Amino acid sequence: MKALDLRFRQQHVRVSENRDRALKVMHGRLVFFQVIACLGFAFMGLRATDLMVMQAEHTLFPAAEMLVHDEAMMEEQQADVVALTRRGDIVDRNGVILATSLKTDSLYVDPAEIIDKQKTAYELAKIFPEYTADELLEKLNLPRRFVWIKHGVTPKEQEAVLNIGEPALGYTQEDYRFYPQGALTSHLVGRINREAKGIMGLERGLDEYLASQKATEVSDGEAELRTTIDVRVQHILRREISNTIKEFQAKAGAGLVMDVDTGEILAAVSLPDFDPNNPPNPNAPEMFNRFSQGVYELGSSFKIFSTAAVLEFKKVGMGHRFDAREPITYGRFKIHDYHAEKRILTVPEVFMVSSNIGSAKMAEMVGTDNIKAFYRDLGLMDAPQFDLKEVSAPLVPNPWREINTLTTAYGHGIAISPLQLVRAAASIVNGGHLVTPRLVVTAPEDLEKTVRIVSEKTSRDMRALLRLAVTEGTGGASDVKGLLVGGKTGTAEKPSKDGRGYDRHRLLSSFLGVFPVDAPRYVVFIMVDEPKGQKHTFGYATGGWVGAPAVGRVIEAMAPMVGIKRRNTDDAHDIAAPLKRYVHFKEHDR
Amino acid sequence: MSLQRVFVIFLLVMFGVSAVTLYQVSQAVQHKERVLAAKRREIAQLKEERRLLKAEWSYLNRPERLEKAANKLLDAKQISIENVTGDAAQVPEPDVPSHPPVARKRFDNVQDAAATEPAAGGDAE
Repeated sequence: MKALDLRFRQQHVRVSENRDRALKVMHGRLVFFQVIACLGFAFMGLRATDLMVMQAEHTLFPAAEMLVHDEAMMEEQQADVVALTRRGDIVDRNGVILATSLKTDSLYVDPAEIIDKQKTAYELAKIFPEYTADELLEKLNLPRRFVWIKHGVTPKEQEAVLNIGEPALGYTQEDYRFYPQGALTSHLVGRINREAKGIMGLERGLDEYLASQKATEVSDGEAELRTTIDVRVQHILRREISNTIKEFQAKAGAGLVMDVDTGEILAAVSLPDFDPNNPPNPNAPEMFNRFSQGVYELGSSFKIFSTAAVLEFKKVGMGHRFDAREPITYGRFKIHDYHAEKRILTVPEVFMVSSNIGSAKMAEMVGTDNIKAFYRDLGLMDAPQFDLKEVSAPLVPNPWREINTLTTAYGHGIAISPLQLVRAAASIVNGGHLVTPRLVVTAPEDLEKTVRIVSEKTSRDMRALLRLAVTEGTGGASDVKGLLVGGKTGTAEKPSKDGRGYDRHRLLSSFLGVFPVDAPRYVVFIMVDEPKGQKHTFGYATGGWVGAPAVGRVIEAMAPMVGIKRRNTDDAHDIAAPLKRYVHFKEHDR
Repeated sequence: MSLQRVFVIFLLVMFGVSAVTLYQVSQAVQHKERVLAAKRREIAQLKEERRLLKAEWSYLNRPERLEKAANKLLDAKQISIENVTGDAAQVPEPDVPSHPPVARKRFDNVQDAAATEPAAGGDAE
């Protein structure tokens, strides 16, 4: 009995132990899940506190915040893309903006979604007076889902469009090319088309350069192309050419200002010009670039080269004489002087009175081969390398006969662009180094200065001759007190409209000035197309009456801007003074 | 309490702490990203505005416009070569009251500091 009782007790204890163990495990698991649940609630509580308290200062609407955040990120990415693809700005040598790309809104419509087409067209026509309601209605009736209404909509116009309340109207941002200087630099800067491709001027000439961020100079994270243009000088040149055109009732005009050492072009004008923000038809006459694309027989300015050639190749002295008593007869051609002196002339006299006969004899003395080679070296026989693509090849006699050697000596029978003339003249007066015309600022160490065109002595002699042509010759009206101006007039008759010979009533009058002529810094050239003689010019419309005063005014206005100081210009300081002993003074026409 | 249980509890605590820390870091990063995005957007907007203002400045400062405005509003003539005396040092000082003493002193200090600053880029040896 006792043994039975003991066994029962042992079994009871075992069962009890097993139950306690199971209860303990169950209890442990319950606690574990309770902890997890508590942690979960604590997490949710913390998150709620975080959102409502800690982040409360940022936004009351976390979802909207996240949306804004995502949009911001997207906008930022888009901004990066725009910055990468945005066309570089074009600035002048002082950083003044000539062309820039701005983000503007463009208005489009989804014609399929439009509610009231007639009303919308009528309302839009009130906002955009450049369109009629019928034109707009035609756009709204197009069987497409996307039609442009207007590019570059102003904020005021946007507000007015919004007030129409038409949901089918929408906006998209586009890059708009803006030219703040307007017509002032139109032919230099040019313009782009709707596809952002350069179609004119620097925009065309350096299209890839401007479109590629890598190639352009980067300033403050933005790309820009620094040009050699100085808008102040550009304005002066444009103003004076424009005034001269008005004064002489001329058809057109052109001009250039070039740094003689670097070939940098500070200003280049072709009038009439246009506003690149609102360009005319591509075939309009104002779209023609007269300073680099147009080629002209520029007349006596060419004597700079024939005179330089005789000094360089034949080493003649200033006292060398050329017989200008009689016109030169060559076959059916007759070469005579405009300001006929009918006497024997020294080299300075030939240049000073602009004798065609003397210059032709100089070229004859140099010889055809030499003169052709010299013109070629000066870049007068081929199209120049330039940053603009609007350049033309010169019209050179082909075949070149002996008579051409004589006539080209005074700029007759060879047509070049003003750019070529200015470049060649700069290369002669700067000490004799060929310069390359450039519109983009180049580091001084990158400027090549290796090709010598004429000797230092010839360059010096030519500078003295240019000064003499101003102090005693045809270019007197260009002189500016306190500045040593040198220069050469040019008056050419234009080919007659019937193609037979030249029209003596249709002139191309020009003047090429150099200053300060003893140590030249700039060449200034102005050409006026078909000026008419005026009462105050005694009916004359030659280079001396038309171009020279205009160049003088440009030099006077630009000198203080480019830091050229007033000088003593009396005979003791005048480089032309030593030449006066070769000049036999008498009354002569201007 | 067995060592194993202590270890498990320790792991759970560590897990919890890590989770909270990670959460905080994640939140902080998101917040910073939002701030950064907003700043970048603001910078982009300001840059765009600056571009617009620069373009407008160039437009309003067109030489032709300035010349017309000067001719109309100022009793001044165009500068000629006669007016250029030489360099800026030759221009006499305007007869105006001197700067306030404090500002003047500060300016002098800047000049003195610049004058006494040793030349940069010299060889250490």
